Amino acid sequence: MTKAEHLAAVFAIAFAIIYAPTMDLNWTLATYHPIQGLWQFGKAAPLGGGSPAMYWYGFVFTAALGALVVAGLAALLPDKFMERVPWLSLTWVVTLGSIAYITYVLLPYATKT
Amino acid sequence: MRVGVSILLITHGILAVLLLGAITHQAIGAAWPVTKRAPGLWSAVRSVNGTNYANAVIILFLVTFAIGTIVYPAYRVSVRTLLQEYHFYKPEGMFEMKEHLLALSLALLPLYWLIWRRPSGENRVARTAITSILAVSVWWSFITGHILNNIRGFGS
Repeated sequence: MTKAEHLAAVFAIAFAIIYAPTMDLNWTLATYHPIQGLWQFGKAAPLGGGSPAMYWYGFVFTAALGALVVAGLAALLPDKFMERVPWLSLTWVVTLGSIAYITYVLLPYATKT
Repeated sequence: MRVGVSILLITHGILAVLLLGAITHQAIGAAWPVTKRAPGLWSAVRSVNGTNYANAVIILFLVTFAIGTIVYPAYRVSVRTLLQEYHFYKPEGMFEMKEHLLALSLALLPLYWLIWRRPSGENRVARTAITSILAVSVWWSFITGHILNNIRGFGS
């Protein structure tokens, strides 16, 4: 594996690990209010008057920022250490784990009537 | 505004069809490659050179995703409120899953691009698995979008 492949794998793994609890516990970095067209930093309540608050953009920002930091730190690690870890396998296994976690969190949608 | 959203949504749908075709061919070719080309459609699909699809998949994914993020507020305001009002929990949950699958898929794209640039025996399993995850995400998203458009789409 090349260094770029190592870092891309670390980014995807970190993103998947951070994203699942972020969507579950609402660690959003930003809130968008679509009716007002307004962005707010962090988690914000709906502004009222039937206007929803959208958190998904913020979930992506949170996970992407966290994964960039982790990948940046991984770039500082010695190549010998990076080559010992099976990054390619970990990438898809961790992503599938994250999907399983998210599926579990969303299960009530399938069962409630 | 409404016309603009409709145009974007139709474009989003058309690009999704192209993406669906490309990623499905590539995933089948990666998962069940043929050792010797035989006549017939199935053999032709299995023997595609996945490397040729990677750039197209990435461009289509990014453009479709970007348009999706632009039309998402219209869904949140006009469609999701109706789903909740009528207790259509399953389609609502399908959309929730769609947005999360696509976010995870977006994060896989850099590695996907790199390993399809240099396909080898070493990265074959990961290449197949990552391409399959992308294919499942795209299929799920396409079907969900189709169902939601049937519930409350154009002119409703």
